[in-house]
Amino acid sequence: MTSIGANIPRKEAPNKVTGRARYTRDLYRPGTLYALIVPAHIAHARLLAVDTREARALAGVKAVLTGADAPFLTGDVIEDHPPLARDKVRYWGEPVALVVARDMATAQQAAALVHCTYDPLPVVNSIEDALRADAPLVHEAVGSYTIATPPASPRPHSNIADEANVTKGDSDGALKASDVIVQVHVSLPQIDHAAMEPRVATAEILADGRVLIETSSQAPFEVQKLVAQYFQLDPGQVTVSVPLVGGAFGGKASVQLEVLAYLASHAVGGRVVTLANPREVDMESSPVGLGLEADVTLGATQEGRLTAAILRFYLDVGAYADSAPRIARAIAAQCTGPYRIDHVHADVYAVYTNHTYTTAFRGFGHMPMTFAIERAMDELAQRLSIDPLDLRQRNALRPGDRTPTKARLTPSNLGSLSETIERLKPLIGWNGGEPYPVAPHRIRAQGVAAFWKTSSSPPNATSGAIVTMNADGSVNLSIGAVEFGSGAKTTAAQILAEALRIPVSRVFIHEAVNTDTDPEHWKTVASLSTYMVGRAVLDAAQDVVRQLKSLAAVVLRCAPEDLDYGNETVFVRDDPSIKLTYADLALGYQYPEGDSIGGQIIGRGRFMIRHLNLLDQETGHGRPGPAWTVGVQAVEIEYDDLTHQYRLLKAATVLDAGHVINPAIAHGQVRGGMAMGLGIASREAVRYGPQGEFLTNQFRSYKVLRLGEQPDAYLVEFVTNPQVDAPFGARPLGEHGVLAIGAALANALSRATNMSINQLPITPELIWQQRRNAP
Amino acid sequence: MIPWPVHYYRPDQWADALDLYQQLTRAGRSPRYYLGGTEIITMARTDSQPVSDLIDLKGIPEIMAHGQDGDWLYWGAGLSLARVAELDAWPVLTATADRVADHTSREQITLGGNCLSIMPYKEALVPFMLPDRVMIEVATSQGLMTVPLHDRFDGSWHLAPGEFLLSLRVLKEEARSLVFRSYKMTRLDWVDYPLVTVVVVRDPDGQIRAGFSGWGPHPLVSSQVNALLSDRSATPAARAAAAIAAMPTPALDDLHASRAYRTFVTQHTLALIIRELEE
Repeated sequence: MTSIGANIPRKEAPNKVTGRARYTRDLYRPGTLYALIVPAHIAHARLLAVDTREARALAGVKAVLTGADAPFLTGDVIEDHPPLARDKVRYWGEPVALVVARDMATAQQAAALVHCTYDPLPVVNSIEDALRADAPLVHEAVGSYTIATPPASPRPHSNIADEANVTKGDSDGALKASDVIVQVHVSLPQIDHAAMEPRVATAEILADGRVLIETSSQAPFEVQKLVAQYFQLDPGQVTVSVPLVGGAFGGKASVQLEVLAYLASHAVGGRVVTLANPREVDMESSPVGLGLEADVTLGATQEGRLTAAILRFYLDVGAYADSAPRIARAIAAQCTGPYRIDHVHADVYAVYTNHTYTTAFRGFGHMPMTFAIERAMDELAQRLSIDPLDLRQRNALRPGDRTPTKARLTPSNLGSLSETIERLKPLIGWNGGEPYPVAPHRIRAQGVAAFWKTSSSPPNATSGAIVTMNADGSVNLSIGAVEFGSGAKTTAAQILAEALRIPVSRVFIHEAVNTDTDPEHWKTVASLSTYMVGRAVLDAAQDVVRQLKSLAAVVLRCAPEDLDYGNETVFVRDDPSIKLTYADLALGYQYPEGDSIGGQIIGRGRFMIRHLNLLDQETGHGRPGPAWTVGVQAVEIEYDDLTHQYRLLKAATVLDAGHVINPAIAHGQVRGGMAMGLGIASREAVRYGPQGEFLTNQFRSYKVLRLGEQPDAYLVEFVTNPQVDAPFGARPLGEHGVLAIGAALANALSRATNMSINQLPITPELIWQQRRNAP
Repeated sequence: MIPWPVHYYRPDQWADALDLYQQLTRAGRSPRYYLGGTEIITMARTDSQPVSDLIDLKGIPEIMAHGQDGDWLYWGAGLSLARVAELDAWPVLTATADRVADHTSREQITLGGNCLSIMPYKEALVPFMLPDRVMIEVATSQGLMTVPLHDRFDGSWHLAPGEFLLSLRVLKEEARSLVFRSYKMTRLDWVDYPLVTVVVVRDPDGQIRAGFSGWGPHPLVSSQVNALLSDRSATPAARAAAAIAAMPTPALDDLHASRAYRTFVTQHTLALIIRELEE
């Protein structure tokens, strides 16, 4: 069959390009009420009073909720987060009230009539502020919060929400013995996910106690679990459905609006309430991506062999911890980048500030982590006068090596960084990294950076698939992974089509995910859908084939082992003319006489990640994911040394894809990742005023890469060393285009300007400023 | 979108628009004139004082007109910036108007809307601040008045409540005699607010006049700056530096750029333009 490796258009593409695709906001039920978050416009304060009288008095207002209506704490890992601010406001934009009204206009008017009385507190406006000995505390009770999902180590009476460490070998000793040492400090701001569809959730509580939630989420089963937990319901009472999602990037893996929508519906007798973030609220009140300050020290021999790494990462996680402890551990586990370093010590601190809280962001911490390592690698290459690609080649992790957490690397779980480096050279036209003038004041330069990433998933992540056969022999596929643009559904359909030896057009896949009817998939995150869903689908396909064969064996009077299948038929291996079609068997077989046997063919499949464990809290040792995806990226720029403006000419990625299931989708994912990473590296930043004011809550001020501002060329190639335990050998690649491209840009510009650019975003002003401050 | 109900009017005569505005105001409502709507609509989402009535002026023939009237070139305030650029009747206006926002937005944004924008930039107005003779046509309760631009705009607009701009006019001969450069400098993107838009014209006597958008809270032209820029005894770089030192207000310091960087960019752009104009 030809489903695997074919450019199958996405199943949902026709509806998307004609504007007919349905997203959460497009679902309307009569009688819907509209809720709106009232954000605090102060970053740190005691919340003395919330006066809702005027808002309640407005005609059309059905309810106004405050922190008193939600007396519990939420949190994925650390339960530190009141759904609506209580006693204290911890960030500019924090929801202090929730208005529910008959329409959006009334809700908007009412929101302006909610009056808060604050007692301002000193603002923790940076990581540096947070770590000062006399720093005001964002959470006074940090030591006594419930840890919902260990591990996490909040430090009492501090702004440290969590810390994770990894130690391998003797880093201090090895560093002293190194021929050269480079040190780099990098500084990256928080960033917004900037999904095209702002977050939205709808909740309804039926008379029989069932709760219906529709939401734009990457984690419907997590929503189900947490809503049940917070409101003391049976999980089965809570039905969560997720239609197409208009972009997510990790920002929709967190549970926030669903809890508020439930509270709102509860306050109005269970009526349907839609809570849709306006863009401004989506940016300042819902979680963003974390900021980072990091110190990297690398030791190496004169020949460019890495000997030691000492790393310190400080994450600006904002006001609430959310996924930060998981991200901190992911950073710790991969802290060296894809390089063999025998002596490593890394400390990762998740730091509370009075900034908007953060959650997962495409790459799960690996993008900022990679920036730090890859800037240091380029500094080392400069210092040693070694070609930066050669330096990376010399140190590339290989099968037989061990990761910083001492996980063992194999050809299957690692792939080949070395091959990707060799493939990158002709792809980008690698010139060794030396900048060269092309006109007066015009300098061209290339920069490279490598990455690796694994899933950092919980060791009990699970996924399922259900296949039902239609009367004509076509099949329906039900999985728990959400479609947010990554092609997860289409990929699953291709895998099923291949396994059942039918065309992809004969596979009908549930577009939405519904926790009532679709089997559980942990969360649609970590680029794991192809791996986990794919394995479950293969398992379900085997079940279908087994059922087809056993039924056909009865009818054809042979053993199931005598049968093979293809062309939607089950046939006798040595005489294919003796056969039955899938349609003959789909709903049970009916003999010519009329009597029938069997029943509908219903295949079920499941998959659970194996052999993972939580990292040891002392040493950090453990196995954080089933496999790593490795790759290398490059950027070519042209820099004007008078204006400090630059143009993006080329961006390239070569990664070890294991096996490419859908080349067009894979290329699109990687190109999209590069576009996002270049936008982040060149222009994006959440910015705060001197009192923690959130300044960038619109695209007027939060700039993303626009069409027309992209490089002249995006180049993508794959090498294919299969991951043996993955469907058809395919490795995860959904997030990876974003990981090192920003570092590659910084490396190119550092070379072009002959300065160390260790800060993002790299605007011409930043270069100008740095040039001006240069000694 | 505007999430609340509004009353929408589309008068087809300027006098009706004025009457309507007065009536609505007297009735205690808060009407606004409406042309392209890009500001009214996008700002509505965060507006705590919602507009109740929109008076769309695009039905008024004079406001959509353009062409030549004796020695004058004129443009109706209701022409979209894309249309203004397409007409290309005055190249410096074309160059400047064509760099506002993106093309999709320029199909909506009007000349009048841009000139009277609540944003500081008002780029399309800058070319009109440079010639000796620029007139505007204003609909007032005393009737249509044609007055010099600087009578009604000196950094801020002086229009009485209810008055509106119908058209802008320049002398054809003067307009055509000016050699120009119009450069929009942004933080990084092609489509963004200007750190500064510098529009410079040189008249047949070699005198240079420069208009700036983005430097301050309003577009500005300074006769002192123009005199310094016109001093051919100094190098372009020295003239640009002197002009920057003589700017009537310090540069803005905001999210898009620091004061120091905006100053650097403006000075660099000025020097570049003078070199180009005099080469």
